[in-house]
Amino acid sequence: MADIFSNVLEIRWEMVLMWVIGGVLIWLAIAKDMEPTLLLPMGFGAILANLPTSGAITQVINGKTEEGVLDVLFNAGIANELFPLLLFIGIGAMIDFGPLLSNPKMLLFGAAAQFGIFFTFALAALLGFDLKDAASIGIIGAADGPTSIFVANYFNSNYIGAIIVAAYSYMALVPIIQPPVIRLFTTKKERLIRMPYEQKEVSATVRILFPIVTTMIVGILAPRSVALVGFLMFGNLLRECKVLRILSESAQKELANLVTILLGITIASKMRYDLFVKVDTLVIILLGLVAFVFDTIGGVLFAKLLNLFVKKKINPMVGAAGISAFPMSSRVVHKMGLKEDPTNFLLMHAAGANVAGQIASVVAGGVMIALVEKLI
Amino acid sequence: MNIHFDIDNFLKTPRVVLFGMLGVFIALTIIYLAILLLSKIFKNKKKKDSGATEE
Repeated sequence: MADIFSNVLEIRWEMVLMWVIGGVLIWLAIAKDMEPTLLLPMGFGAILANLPTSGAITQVINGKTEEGVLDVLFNAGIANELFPLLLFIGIGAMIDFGPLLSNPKMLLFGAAAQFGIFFTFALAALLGFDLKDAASIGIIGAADGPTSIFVANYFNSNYIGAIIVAAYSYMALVPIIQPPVIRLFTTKKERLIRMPYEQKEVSATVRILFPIVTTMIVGILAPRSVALVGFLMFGNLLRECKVLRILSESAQKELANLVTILLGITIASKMRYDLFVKVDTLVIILLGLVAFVFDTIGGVLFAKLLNLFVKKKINPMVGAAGISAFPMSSRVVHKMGLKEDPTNFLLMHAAGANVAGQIASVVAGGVMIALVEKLI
Repeated sequence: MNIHFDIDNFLKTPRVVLFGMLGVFIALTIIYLAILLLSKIFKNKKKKDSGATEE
């Protein structure tokens, strides 16, 4: 009898706290519909990994190492960056780059809205995080889960659990985070700027060549991110070639769903109480918010800067859609535009900036790896 | 890790911030130019074709 209950004595308050955190993630996923595909597996995994002497994670019992399935999955799918890359095939197959191809200057907003990544990197370094961890924390601002996982894992950050929780939570919170920041940095007059959308037909050849050319350009300029951008663009090529409809649909549905299930629960192996219950975790979650806020500021201010030089004025809210949280950010900007003027439709412009952010965040991840690697 | 202000660490970052943003802008500007070029070379023929048929 004592043997059966001996495990109960192994329960620590930090474990209980992790069960609560797991429960909150599951509640957010189910009750609030916040990124449920990831937060639910992560929440359940957090509970699974924090049971006393949990067999789901690697334990040393009586001097013998027993490998846990979550660690096996982590080594098989995240430590070698496989899961985020496979997920990118699915994401690439889901994205329609049409709005961007018909208005390619939106790419510049994608670039500007990565400012939060680098600002937060500097702030994290100021707060004493070593440069590898600071880069991994900054990349929360990519607003793009797979890129965050890729970079944090590349730098072998101990904070990967907190980074992923922050990245996915803030992506879901974009409709709450962005509007007050946008309002703070724009005037009512600016928010009322109309941007008529001229729909340009994009030829099938351009749609097919775009993923190939983008992969080559990014691969040459930022070789560290070629795997990420390559898999994203491969997925998009499956979609646009129109002869692999079944593969494209499989990538969008079965592949993306399977990888998401495994990714979410595997991340939980890094949500063990000994790695997670720290002041650092709270600081990282706050820094993640800073990253999203400064991404938004970067996009808005860049649009305002462009307006000093261009004849056709740009609604600065569109700049905020340059963060990669797709499609939440473009929806937020569209709704804000309609609120100011019910006849001002910004959706297509915002969608263009938003998919540009997807490419820009991957490039930013590669650039960050290349630059920080030289410093360490 | 103890959270503390680390000025030496911070002073290493401006180069990354500057070149990082510059790198992202350069890469996306090149993609922008590539899209413009591709769109110019491969204009949508569908409209022209349908126009020709109508004529």
